[in-house]
Amino acid sequence: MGGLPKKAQHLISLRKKKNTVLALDSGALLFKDEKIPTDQTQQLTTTAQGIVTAYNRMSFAAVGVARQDLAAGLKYLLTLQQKSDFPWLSANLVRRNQSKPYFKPHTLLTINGMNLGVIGLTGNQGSDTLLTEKDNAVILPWEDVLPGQIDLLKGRTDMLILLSNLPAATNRIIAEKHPEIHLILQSGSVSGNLAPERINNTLLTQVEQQGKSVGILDVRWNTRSKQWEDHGSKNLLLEKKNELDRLGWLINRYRKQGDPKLVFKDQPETLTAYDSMLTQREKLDQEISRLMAEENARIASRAQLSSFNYRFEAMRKDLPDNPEVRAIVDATTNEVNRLGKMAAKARSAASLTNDQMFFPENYAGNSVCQSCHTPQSEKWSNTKHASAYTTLENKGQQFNTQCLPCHVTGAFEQPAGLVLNLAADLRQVGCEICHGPGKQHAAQPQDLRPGKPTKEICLRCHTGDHDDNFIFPEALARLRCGSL
Amino acid sequence: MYKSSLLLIALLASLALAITAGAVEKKASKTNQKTDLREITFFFSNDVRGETEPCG
Repeated sequence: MGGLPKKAQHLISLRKKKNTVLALDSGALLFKDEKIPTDQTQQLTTTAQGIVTAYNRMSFAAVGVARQDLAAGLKYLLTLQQKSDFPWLSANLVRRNQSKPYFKPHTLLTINGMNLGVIGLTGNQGSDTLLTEKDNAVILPWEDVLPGQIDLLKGRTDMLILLSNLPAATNRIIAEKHPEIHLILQSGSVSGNLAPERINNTLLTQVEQQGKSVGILDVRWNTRSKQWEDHGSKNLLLEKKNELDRLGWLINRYRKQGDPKLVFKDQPETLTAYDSMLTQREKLDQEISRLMAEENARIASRAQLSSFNYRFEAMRKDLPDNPEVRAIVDATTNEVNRLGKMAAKARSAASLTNDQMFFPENYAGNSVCQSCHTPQSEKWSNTKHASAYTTLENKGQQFNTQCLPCHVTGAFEQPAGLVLNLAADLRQVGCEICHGPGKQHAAQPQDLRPGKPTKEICLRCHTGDHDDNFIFPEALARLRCGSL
Repeated sequence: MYKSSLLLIALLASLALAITAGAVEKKASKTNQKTDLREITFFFSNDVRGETEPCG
């Protein structure tokens, strides 16, 4: 799943069908975490540059600055901004003492005769170490900057959009307090896509992470009323009608046996329940009449309101790639691999004697396991684990430190530089990734038994980001070694 | 007779003009109503998190 070439092709196809498509990204575009290991800086910033080039090609209109985008340093993002054809937006990442934003706080766009204001907000939650003293920067609370931005833009725009890196709960508060913002596109870890939710007069939505899906929101916007259509009363009306149906059915059940007042005269509790149902039905009737009047008024004023349709489209493996973005991605990943290869070569020459490869402490290596556990090894050799590293080699990514840990054995918790020089016997996902380091077990097979695979171990790699189909009991049943 | 014909033609012409003007006005009011509505499609994403495409 995922991939910029597919996303690009999808966007371009959409633009061929409609000439009013606006591409926006609410941030966390460049890096996975808020800090990057220094020995991976070159590879990760090369990838970041590639992503920006791809986004330039896709003509994104604006991208929000999220905390992760600052992982390589504020200075780096400011430099990268120069190479971006789109504005990076943050109204609250400002110079200390001056409150002057480092990035554009908002951008104004015109599409289909409509003026749009897009504001960016960076999350100010989390570690203080994101910005250094040298940066002379601070991320202000949204309350300090957003009202001012709204005042500045609301008279000049038909629609106000917020690209927010703030937590979902904060975005809801913003929506409640500021109905002048019509759409919030948020970033931040969520599992699954968040369908647009209308809070007050603001739609709030988000797609799941790592480019697995894209969101498409078709809007018919009334520039005069600037009000979203309310689906709430319609849904409530349906709910109440269903409740009334059920209540009517229950009342009829009582009546089938005759007049309930006579039939249940000796059962006061049943009679009380029956009376309470009658009262409830009367209340429901009144409520339904009120809701129907509201619904009719809504239909009458519908022309004044704005409506939307949405869909989330998964970037499935079978979707076509855009050739130009494919070329950008290929050039980027080739460069990342080349950098990794050079780092591996340099480390090998500098710190490892006699071209000795890195063998993490306590690991035995696959060939040692195989020497005793032949049937299990044979079974393993037919699994995808046995060719995990080969897959990377085939894609020219065997020196990519972002990919390596899940395609070799013993790489977790090891410095990325050392993993680049991992011994051949630990390449592929071998026995010890599931059972733990086996050196001591190999020395004393009877006394020190290896561990059993746990769901937590598998989830280090088979996360929702990369494997939608992972179900632990099924995987365990499929890969089980059997009697040792 | 000639005067009556002229009067009739003038009346018919005025009527045609009035009908045309009415239709134009109606069309214009419809267009005004339409100009308040704008269509736009947002293509949006987030949290790409440095992944150009899956590793393998």
